[in-house]
Amino acid sequence: MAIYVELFIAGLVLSSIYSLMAVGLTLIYGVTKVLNYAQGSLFTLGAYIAFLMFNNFPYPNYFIVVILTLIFMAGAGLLFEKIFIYPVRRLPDWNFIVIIVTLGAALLIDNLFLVIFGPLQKTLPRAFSGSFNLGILRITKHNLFVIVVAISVLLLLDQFLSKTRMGMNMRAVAQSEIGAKIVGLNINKVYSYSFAIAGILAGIAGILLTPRTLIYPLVGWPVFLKGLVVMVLGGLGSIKGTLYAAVILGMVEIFVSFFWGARWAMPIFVLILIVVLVFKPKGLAGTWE
Amino acid sequence: MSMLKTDNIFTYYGEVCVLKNINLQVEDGELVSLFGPNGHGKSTLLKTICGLIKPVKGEVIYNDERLDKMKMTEIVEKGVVYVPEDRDLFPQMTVEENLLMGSNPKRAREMEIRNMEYVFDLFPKLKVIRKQFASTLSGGEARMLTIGRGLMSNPDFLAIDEPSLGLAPNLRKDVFNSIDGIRNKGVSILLVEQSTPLAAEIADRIYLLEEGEITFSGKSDKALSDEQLKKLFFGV
Repeated sequence: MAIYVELFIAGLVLSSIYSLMAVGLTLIYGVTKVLNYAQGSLFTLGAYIAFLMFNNFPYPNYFIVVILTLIFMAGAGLLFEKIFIYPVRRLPDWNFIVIIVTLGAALLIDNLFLVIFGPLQKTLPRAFSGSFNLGILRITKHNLFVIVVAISVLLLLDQFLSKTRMGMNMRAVAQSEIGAKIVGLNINKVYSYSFAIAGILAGIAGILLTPRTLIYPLVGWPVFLKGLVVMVLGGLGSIKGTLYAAVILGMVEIFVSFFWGARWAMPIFVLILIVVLVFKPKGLAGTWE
Repeated sequence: MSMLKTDNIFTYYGEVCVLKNINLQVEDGELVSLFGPNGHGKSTLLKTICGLIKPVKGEVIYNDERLDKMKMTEIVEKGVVYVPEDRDLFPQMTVEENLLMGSNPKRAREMEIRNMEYVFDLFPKLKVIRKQFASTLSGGEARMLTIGRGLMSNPDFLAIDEPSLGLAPNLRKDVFNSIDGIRNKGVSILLVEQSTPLAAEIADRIYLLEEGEITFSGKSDKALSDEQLKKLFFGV
């Protein structure tokens, strides 16, 4: 019995990471209609920046490093939008062009990592070491931290989107860009903000997951791909649907890996995706529109 | 000196010239109705004035400033507000949230509570359904909400696109009465209609737009009394 509880918790940990990645993707897609292939690179960037701080500060405090990294990631998101998205948006048919541009940006950024940090894996510390032992049940403190952080971040994001002016502006642009123009919204600013938030989300995911996977230039890709499956399964642009999908796929990955082996996880993902899309072509929760 | 003036405007959709040499003006506090058959460029003219489309040639002048050189955000900030015909509302937001989005311009922020009361006064129905999603509204309710959202931007000049489109006859009368009420509050209005005599009755002046050109302009009582003009405008 204990093994199932442990698997369940491991599943929740994965779900947490995937939901952070996928919510970032879906936020960008919902607001700007950009499919951001470089979300995985932002994930890796967050991990590397935290790594740099841990190794160059004389007395690095985990939480100070995390906060500084996230501030940096917000700036990185803004800059990413200014460099790669904003110039492309003036072009006709930019919706198609921008997909290739983000893919190119991802390759560029990943290769910069290779040049700057080299191919060797780096390690990032965990928030807390050690674990709780409840009878025969053993839960590492870091895993619990991951779950708590993900839930808090998503609740916070929900409050931001429903209560604050900028959050409402984002939803407005996502639902009707013309309507947003009519009420005089500064669309460029809303686009920038959504990339900043996606940068923060990717950074959090990077800091939380890479203590387990280690950091290397391409570490973001598998996480990005799973985030992408989660986003499509949940329904493009729907945050609620994304959460359902993240939990489903996180659990499936852990249980399938345990019983049949890790190589079956991705095929089962695709199978679930196909079955869901056959019956619900817009994903679990449809769209924002 | 007129409040809003278009000076020899030409607007294109791709290669097609939709507006040819449009000269139109609206005085301070005036209500002007623009008539014309479907697809002859009425909406395009409103969108050109409000900045959603940029003219290829000509100027849009509002209180001595060139609107056609400004961004949409700045235009709205000047008090020129567009009320669209085709429900460009925010479907997954409540009626109240839609109205709050209307008070996005800085000039409307501090008036938010007063304007909201005014809108609920003008359209009591909106107050009743204020917690409903905009996607669930009927045609009439959606019309009220688009006009209400426009009023939340605290406009000095309101450009209303086909307010009676898709409305039952009794609702039309209500909407036009409300528009008349808005004008009496001191807001200048330019509205577009296909062939509704009501829109001429409340107007000070009217224009007729055919095939992208203005073919008639004058006092509205003249059009309403003249049999030939009546036929031209309203098909009766």
